[in-house]
Amino acid sequence: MIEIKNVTQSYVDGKTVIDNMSLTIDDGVVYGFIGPNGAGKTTTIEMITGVLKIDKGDILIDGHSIITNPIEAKKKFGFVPDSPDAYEKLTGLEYLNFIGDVYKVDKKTRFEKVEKLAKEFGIYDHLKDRIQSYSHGMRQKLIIISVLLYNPKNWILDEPMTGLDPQSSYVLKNLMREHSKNGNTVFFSTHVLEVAEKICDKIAIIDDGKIVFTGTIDEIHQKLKSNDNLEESFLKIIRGDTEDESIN
Amino acid sequence: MKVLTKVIFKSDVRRDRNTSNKVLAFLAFLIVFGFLALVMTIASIYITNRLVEIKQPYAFISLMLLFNFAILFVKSIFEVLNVLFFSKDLKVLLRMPIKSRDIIHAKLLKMIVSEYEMELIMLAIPMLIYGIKTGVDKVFYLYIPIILAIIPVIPICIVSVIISIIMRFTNMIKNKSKVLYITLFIAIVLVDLVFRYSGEGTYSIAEFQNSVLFENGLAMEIADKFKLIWPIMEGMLNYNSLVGVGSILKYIGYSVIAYIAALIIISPIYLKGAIGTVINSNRKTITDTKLKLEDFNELSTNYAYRKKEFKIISRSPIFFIQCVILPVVMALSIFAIAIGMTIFSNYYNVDIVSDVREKASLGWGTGIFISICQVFYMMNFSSIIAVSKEERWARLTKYMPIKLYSQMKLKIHLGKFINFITALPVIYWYYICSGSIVNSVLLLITAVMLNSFGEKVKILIDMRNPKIDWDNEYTMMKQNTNVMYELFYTIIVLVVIIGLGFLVSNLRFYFPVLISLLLLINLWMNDYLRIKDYKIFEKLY
Repeated sequence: MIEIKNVTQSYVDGKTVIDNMSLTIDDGVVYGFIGPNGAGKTTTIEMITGVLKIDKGDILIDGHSIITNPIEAKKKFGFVPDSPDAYEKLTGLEYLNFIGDVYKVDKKTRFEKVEKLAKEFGIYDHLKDRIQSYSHGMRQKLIIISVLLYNPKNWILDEPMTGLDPQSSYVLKNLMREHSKNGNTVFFSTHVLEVAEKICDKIAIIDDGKIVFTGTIDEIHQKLKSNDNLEESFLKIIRGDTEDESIN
Repeated sequence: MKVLTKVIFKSDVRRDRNTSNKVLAFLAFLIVFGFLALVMTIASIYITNRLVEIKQPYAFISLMLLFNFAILFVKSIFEVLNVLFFSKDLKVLLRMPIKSRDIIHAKLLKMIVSEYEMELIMLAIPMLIYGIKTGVDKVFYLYIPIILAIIPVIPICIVSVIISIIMRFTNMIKNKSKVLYITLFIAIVLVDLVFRYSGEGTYSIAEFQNSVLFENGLAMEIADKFKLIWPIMEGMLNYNSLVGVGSILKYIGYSVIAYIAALIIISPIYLKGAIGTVINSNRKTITDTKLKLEDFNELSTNYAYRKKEFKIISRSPIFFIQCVILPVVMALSIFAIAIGMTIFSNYYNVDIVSDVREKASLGWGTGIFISICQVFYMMNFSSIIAVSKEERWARLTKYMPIKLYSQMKLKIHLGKFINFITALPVIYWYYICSGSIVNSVLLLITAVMLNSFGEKVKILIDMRNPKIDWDNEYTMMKQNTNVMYELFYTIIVLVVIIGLGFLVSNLRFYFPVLISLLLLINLWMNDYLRIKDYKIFEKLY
């Protein structure tokens, strides 16, 4: 469970990027986080993961504050960033072993999981190559495997489908659903509204640093009193073409 | 072509995010520049005086030119490899409809101009001092900027041609690091051959000893052995006659020919070498891709972290040279000097050891030994790039469930270890000179504590302004203004340690005072890093 409590974040020049945001991501749901470019999606995710300092408010991950108890909080999530970050000079296998050592995954589990996942994502034959030689998609897959290796309760993914081929994208979507079915949390940002529509149990729409809508896809339709697809509903909300004041 | 040159030049400019950083970097640059200029001035005065005494003043010019050429050749090897072949801008440039000749032209110009900063200290200052000390005519000073402008051209062009030819063939090797190491090795050998055998090719100590018997004979002997410096040498010595003007014009002509020849030779082969480095990247030709249970070893987090740090440094030739090879080679040189001194003293009854022992028994003398350790520590860049070396992947440090304070300690571990190795020969040397085991042990403790504090300072400098957006390892090191802060820190340390030695000259008091001081600042630093770890990593996002 991830709880964002009255979080505010500003730039050095005083401009507010995230404005008093509150959001609760319950266990057992796939939660989509959507919004236009520059709305504050990545900033929010970077605050949840402890990369960015929070000016006001707090974020709890399974009850552990990322401010006061960052190490326990970090143990509770796995993060796939928008730019797949891994040490270029290591091989894929060395990187996975390193992650295994940091998160204390035993040897047998590592072997079994890596073998299975690397085959599913199609990078098995490249694991002994240096990450330097990987394409964006391959790096993305490696990072996803590294997170699945220690299988944290909360998955946080920033634009996870970017750079993935259709098959890997399909595998990841299935894994996300499966993870949430097991009572865990999946929180991900995306630009691809079709993906959000297909796999999300709930979505949050962020615009200009504020959450403008939270709920299920059906709830959007109910609020907008239309049967538009998510893309059209999203545009209506962002443009302010809605009579429901609770949305804007 | 002009636009391309401008863009490439701009990309080489050191960038800092805010004004205060720019001001601080400028101040640090001024202080470091001033310090180095002062060192060069003192050294130039000393050497000129000695050479004037033995009636060999011209030898100063030939020695300076020789020294500069040697540095230029070695530096050019790294510069050419990284600017021409391992620069990230190649990925963009090679896609564009730009002729390879234009890329080479822009990059050669950039490399030549970037040498001027160093030449200003290494060549212009000694020449000025020489002029003042020997009372030359004003015309002499007009030659200095001309020589400064043309001197890097020939070394850079020769090295560019050699490396381009090697790269044309080594790019078939798919591992980028291997390509770098192999090319580096072959280039060093070839450049050494070019440099050595551009003159008569043979050296004999007797010839040099004989040359000292004639006025300015040494200068002529050096110029004769190294033909590359001859025209400049001739120009500088005959500065107030047409012979001098002619020689300089001749050298300018040689430089222009070298530049054009480099363009003509490199242009047709450049793209294949450059494309090879971009495409091959770092692909290994691994046949056995099957994973086995033995491929997965469980290690403690600390050990795994340290292993990861070492792998990142050892797999980058530039980082490995700057962080491991260079300091260790320097330390071994000191070790050789120490052994040499002992042998020399024994065989020739020249009591150098007693002379040094007398000085080492005083605070400032011992301070000099500690300062030598500090200079070696300064040459080890592993902690000053502890975070930045990981490029934008450095952000991982913040996701990991490991305390940032612990990560800092793990990141500086390699630096501390290498520093410790480099300090040992100095301590051994001190032991030979001082003959005191107790003082040598105290020096070891001091060196270890200084090492520990210094490496923490280095990671703080790195985190104050992390340089995680870089083109390649070489430009990352070169454009890294943080290195200047490290030099600045070293200057302060040297002043404090030697200064304290003058204030407290008795070693019975000098060591306790210094060790207590180091203990206090180490404890304070540990507390600071532990309490402020999140704040220290704030700029990394």
